Amino acid sequence: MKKTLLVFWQEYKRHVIRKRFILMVLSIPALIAVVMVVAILGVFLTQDKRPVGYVDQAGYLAIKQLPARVEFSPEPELQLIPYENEKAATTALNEGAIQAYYILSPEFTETGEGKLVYIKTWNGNLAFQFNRLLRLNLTDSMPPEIANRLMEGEEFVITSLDQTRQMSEDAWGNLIVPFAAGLLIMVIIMTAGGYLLQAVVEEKENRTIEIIITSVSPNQLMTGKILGDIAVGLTQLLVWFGFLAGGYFLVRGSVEWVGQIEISTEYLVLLVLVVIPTFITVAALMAAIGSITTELREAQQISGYFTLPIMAPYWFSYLIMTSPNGPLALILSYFPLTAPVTLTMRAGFTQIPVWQLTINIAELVLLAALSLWLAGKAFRAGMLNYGKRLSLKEIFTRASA
Amino acid sequence: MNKTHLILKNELITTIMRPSFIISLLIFPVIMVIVIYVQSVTNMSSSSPAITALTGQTGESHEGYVDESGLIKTLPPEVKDGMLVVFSDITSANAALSEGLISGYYVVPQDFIASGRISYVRADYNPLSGLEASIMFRDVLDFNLLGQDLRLADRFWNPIQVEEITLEETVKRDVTNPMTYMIPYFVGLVLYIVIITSASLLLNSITTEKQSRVMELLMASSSPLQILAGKIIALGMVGLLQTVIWSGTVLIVVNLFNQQSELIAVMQLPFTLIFWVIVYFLLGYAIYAALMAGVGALMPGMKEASQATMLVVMPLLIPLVLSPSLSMTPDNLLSVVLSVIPFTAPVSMMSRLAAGPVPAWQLGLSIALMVITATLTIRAVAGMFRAQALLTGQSFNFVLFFKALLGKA
Repeated sequence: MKKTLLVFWQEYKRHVIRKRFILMVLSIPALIAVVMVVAILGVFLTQDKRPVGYVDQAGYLAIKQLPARVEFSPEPELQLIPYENEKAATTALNEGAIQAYYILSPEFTETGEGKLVYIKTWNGNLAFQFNRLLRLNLTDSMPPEIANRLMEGEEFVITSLDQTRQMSEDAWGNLIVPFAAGLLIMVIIMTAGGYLLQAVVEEKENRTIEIIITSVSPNQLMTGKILGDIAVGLTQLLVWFGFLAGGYFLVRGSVEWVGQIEISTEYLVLLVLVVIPTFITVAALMAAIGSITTELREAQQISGYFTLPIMAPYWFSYLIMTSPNGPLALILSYFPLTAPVTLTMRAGFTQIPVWQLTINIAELVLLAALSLWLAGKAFRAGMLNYGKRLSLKEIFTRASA
Repeated sequence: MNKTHLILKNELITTIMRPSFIISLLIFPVIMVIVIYVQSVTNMSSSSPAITALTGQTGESHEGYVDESGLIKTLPPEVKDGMLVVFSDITSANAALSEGLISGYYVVPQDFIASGRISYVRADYNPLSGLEASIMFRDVLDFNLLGQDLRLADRFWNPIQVEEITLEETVKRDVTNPMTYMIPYFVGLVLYIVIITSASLLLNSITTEKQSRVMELLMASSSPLQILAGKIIALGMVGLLQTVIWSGTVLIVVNLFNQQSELIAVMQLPFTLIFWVIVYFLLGYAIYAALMAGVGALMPGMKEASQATMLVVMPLLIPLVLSPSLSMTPDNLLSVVLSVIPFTAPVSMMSRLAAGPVPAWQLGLSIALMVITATLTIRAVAGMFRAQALLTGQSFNFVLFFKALLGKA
């Protein structure tokens, strides 16, 4: 036990207490922040914020301006400018004073027909705002509370059958959570697995392992290493989660959709239940690959095949999110390697029946135990084996011999 | 020259013959075909047989509502019989939902006109499908708020029938079709992946040989420049093969879908695109491979190298993040600037070319700038690729890297 702890601590220390690890852990949130700022700035700077003109040939518009917006919105508020006739509007358009103009035909009240004249492109928000102005005029003569309801629209609150879960459609920020959680888990699993692979192959490559096993049993070494690397992965997860939480509390007050994000305890519990066995499985499989191969390059190639199924649910994310109980989503949750990401996504969009969850998680745990056992065998058979990759058959015959 | 040729041949054979290379060469097109297919079929109709098999949804909806406010008197004609059933109270609606007769129901509360809140109970509690499904009920509410006047309701839903007139003819972009930005994004992504993978193959090959001291043996019989040239050309050829196969698949798949349906008709990809892909790959590769080789020359091992590459490839990542903006507004200042700067040009220019035609002067300018940058970086890195740097176990730092690039180290 003491030796396992030693190995564990050594493995944890050599990865975490290093400038490189700290740099890596901090650089990813920084990178994401930079990318987000660049993307938002890019969209913001390329928006056309010039006003929009209109020529009301039908004399239809009683209200000529939209009321000022109260809430903040990233979309610019485009000013609407009335023009006497088409000629004046064309001149303004050619001078660049406006980005486009509408013409309401003289028979607009009956037909609803009109034209939109622009040079090359126009801001998508323009049609939205002009339509709003037209609707405002349409509902002007109605009782104020009905007109107000029509203009404001309805707020749908989606509720589950047993009333335990509720989400307002305005709180669409919640839809990001399962997507982001899946991504976070995937990245962590793969980096932590990569560490373990490196740890085993490297020591084998420079023959340190021969010295280590003179004083530690293979089982102690393996347990220590696997636990150590899982701890590394969890450290990383905690740091990134801390950044996410920090960002959340920072902008919660000012950005509405962020403030509406809620994460239930059940969801967190599910995440933990899914992540831990998956972590163990991937770590053990990586250790097994590390012990049967002889070179880091070769090991990385083989481990690449495992990352494909873990990623696969993302290619079908749209289908999984829109029909979280369909056959595809079910198949992907029953297959252990695709289950972690699929389950985290599905849980955000539906209520997964408890019996299904039980089977899925039991499968993950079973697979974790199986991979640990396999890793132990492979490690004993392969740790002192150089120059040649072991076959699956050899792992079992040699270990028992 | 003979020695360069030997190194080239060896590098080429060992890279191409690896199973992982062959697998990734084939897997990428397969994934792309599946994703494009699924995307386009879901787009076309949610009730096609293939999609129904995957989602288990037939596309027919049966929902109910409970109207406590007495607002709903008639349903608009677009709502067909049986699509929306009225229930007298929540208990009976719940019973129907539990039996699976309906997939969900809406409750219009008494104070609806004042509060605007509608409770929408769904058996599967899916906020995403819920947003889509509730569009119909919104129309029902609007229709009744407007006094069941169909003409008025039509005017409310479509306030103006617009005839669009443009004073300057340009390519029309269908904003609602996801393919409009998916395709340029894919083309950009292909270029990003091939440039990065072939450049990191080079880095990998240099650092492994350096670490295992094969490099020292090699240098006993050939000059560092011969080694560098052999490796760059060989891995460039490998990358070119990948580029041609991958972008060829994108072209063929997109044009096949074109013939079958109207789906991607908005996105005609010209076959000359493949020519530009090759040009931009070669130039982009020359720049990034040289930079990576520089990193590899100064780096003691693979672990240190992968840390440094992150910073080197950053510029290539920026246009990928801005891809929506590049494909929707390919003519604005940001897009032009990004596609002229040599480090961001390959991905940005390819996204723009896939989105529509690009003025010739911009193509010319970006290619000229890239050629100049590539020549300068290769020359700078060749100076860095000296015996001394390749031998020592000196650890890497960026000050040294830039000093060496400028020829001052």
